[in-house]
Amino acid sequence: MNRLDRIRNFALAALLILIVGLLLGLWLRNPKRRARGVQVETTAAVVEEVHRIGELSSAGFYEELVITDRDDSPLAFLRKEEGIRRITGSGDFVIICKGRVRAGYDLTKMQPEDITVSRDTLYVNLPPVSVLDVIINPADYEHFAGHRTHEETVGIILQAKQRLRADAVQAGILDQAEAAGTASLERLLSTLGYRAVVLTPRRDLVFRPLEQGGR
Amino acid sequence: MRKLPVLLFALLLILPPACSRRASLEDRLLERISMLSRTADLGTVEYTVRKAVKARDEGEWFKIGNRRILFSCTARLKAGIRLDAIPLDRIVVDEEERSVSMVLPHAVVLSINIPPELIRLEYEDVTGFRSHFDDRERQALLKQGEREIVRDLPKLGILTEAEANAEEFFRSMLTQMGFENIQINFE
Repeated sequence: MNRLDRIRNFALAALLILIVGLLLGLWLRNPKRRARGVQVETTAAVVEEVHRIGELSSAGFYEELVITDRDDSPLAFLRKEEGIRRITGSGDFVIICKGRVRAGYDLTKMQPEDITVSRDTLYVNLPPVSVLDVIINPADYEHFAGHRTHEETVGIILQAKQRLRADAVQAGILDQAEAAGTASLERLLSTLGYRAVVLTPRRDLVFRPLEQGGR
Repeated sequence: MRKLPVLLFALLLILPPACSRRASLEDRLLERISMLSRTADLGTVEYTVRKAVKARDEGEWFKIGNRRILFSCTARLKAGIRLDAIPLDRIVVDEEERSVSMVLPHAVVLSINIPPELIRLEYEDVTGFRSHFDDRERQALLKQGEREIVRDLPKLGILTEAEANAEEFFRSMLTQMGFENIQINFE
């Protein structure tokens, strides 16, 4: 093989590498290929049920809390060793939740006889206040550490909701809901021409302790 | 051997900030922020809405296998009117005629509740050398589902229904109070 053949072979090899490189580059830049990765598709929201309600929400409670689910697997005792924990991680699952609680009156529990008028005075018997909603939506929690299955995560969020509800009741959301609800109704009803408006919230003695247990 | 004291000194310089960082992070995690507030919302309708969220991941060219996941979520949406937005100065009562006229504010969505127990993992399929969808990926998908439920709200007709129910609620209450001629408008 003379020198000219060698140069020709070298040039051919270089050209081949260049062509392969160009083709690879084009393939990598292909929008179809780049569109790979996680592709999310959602269906249209379907209304399953329409329910008439009559809820006067008169108090809200917001809390940011941290929920830790400790590792209770057989490996947990090994992870207590600093060296092993550094390699495997703690195994604990930590999420930061931002939850909301709404409380007030369920006015659909009122009966016609709960509203009476005597001379210039309006008498209204209100149902007892209750917790209307405890809300922690997917956008309201942030995954901080650890791994759990979907079902385990659901269980942990349910625990967080129970804690949120108990904290709201302890912070006085029911008293606040009763006071604020009565005040706003009184303000509205007093414009209807009555000399006096008497609102009487019903109180159930066993209601509040039961409320703390969650529903 | 001469380098040992220098290394120890350098280690001492590094360690305290590292420890304090850890303490502050734990403090942050233990910190609880809570707030109690007053509201005056009259919820008049609740919609139960169902939505499917699906994702497929064929991975990069060097990854062997693909994965798919399907969730179904149920959301409870409540809508109604804000009582503190009712213009009280525009309530006109005629006691002799037993008539009342009032203006109500337009309905708004009051709450969106996606209970975690109603978020179901319906299907997950992983092939080849791919790993399952992790916690962050699953949550990102569900967040997307929630965003789309919020985006679809105007199409559901919930606000029209809420206003109709609010009108009926006030009519029923005012009739109970003895009013015979009731006029309600939304503005």
